[in-house]
Amino acid sequence: MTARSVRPFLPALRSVDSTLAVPVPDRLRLLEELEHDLEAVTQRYVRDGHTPEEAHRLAVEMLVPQGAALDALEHVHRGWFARVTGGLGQLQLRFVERTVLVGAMALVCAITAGAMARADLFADPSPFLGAVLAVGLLLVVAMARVGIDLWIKSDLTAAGPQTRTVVLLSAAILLIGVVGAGVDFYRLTVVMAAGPADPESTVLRWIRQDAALVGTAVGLALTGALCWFASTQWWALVWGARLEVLGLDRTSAKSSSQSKESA
Amino acid sequence: MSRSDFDVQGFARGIHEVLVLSTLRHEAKHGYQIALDVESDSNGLFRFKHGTLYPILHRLEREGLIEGAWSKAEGRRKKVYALTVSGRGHLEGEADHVEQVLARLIHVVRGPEEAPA
Repeated sequence: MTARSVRPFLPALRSVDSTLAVPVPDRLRLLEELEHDLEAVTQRYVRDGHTPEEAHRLAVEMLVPQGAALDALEHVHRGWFARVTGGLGQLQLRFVERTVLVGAMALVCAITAGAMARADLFADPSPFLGAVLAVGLLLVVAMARVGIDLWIKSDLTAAGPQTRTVVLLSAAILLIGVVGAGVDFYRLTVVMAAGPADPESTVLRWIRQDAALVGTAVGLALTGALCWFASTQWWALVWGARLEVLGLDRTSAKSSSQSKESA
Repeated sequence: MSRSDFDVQGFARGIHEVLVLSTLRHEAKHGYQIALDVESDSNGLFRFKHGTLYPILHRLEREGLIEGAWSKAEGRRKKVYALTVSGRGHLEGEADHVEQVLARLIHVVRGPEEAPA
C-alpha cells in the first residue's frame, strides 16, 4: 500500500483498532475495507448535495462499528481457540492451557530423550550435558508459548516478551555447551599431562562426550533461533501492516509502545 | 414452518441478512453500496447504522453465502462482495420464509376476512 496524503478517517480507524478485540490480521482487513467504504460513501453523499462535513459525519454514523456491532464482529472473528475455550472461565482456561503445554512439553521431551538414548548420547555424558538439557526444556516451553500466543491465540502483545526469552535461553544453551566443551578440554589436558594408562581411550571418551554436548547445544540453540526468527518476522509483518493501515509512524509507534512497557 | 420453531427475535435479526443477500442478487457490490442500496430500496425503512453492516457481511462470508474479493487500485485495497450459489439458494428459501411469516402476521392483524388470500 502506498502512502496517501489525505486520510480523513484515521481517527475513526484508530478508535476501532483500539476497541476491537479480534486477531490483528482480521482487524487490519476490516480497517482497510472500512476506510475504503467511508471514503466512497462520503463522496457519494457529497455528490448528493451534502456538505463535506455533513457527508463525513453521516459516513461515520453509518459505517464505523460501535457497541453491539463491535461485539458482533468479535464474535464473528474469534479464532477456533476462542470458540473451543469460549465456555471456560479465566482460571479454567489457564489450567487447560498449562496442562496442554506441560503435556506437549512432556511428549517432545520423551521423543527427544528417546532419540538421544538411541544415539547413545547418554552412555558417557559430559557433566555439562545435564545443564544444556535442563535449559533446553525451558526453551521448549518458551517456544511453545510463543507459538500458542502468535498462531493460536493471535495475541501479539503477549508474544513479544516471550520471543526475548527464547533468544536468551538459546544463547544460554550455546554458552553452556561451548564453555562446557572448553572446560572438558582443559580437564583432558590435565589428565593427559598426568600420563593416563590408556591415553587413546581417554581422548576418544572426551571426543564422544563433547561431540554429544556441543551437538545438542548447537541443535537446541539453532532451533530456538529459528523459532525467534520466524516469530519476530511474523510479528513485524503483522505489526508493520497495522501501523501502515492506521497511518502511524514506525519510530513514534515504537517509542510509544516502549513507554507503555516501561510504565 | 411449525409453530414451535419460529423465533421472533431471530427473524428480526435475520431480516438484515436477507436484505444484504437480496441486494447482491444481480451484481457484486462494495459494503457501502450494499448499505446505501438497502436504504434506498426500502425507502429508508431499513438502514445500517454504527457499523452493523460489517458483522453481517463477515458472518455471511464465513458461512459461504457471499464471497468477498479484494482488488487493488491506486495503491489501496477494496473489497467487493458477490452472492455465491449457496447464498442464492439460501436467499430463495429465506424469501419464502419471510413471505409466509408476513402473510400470517397480516392474517392475524387484519383478521381472516381482510387478509389477502
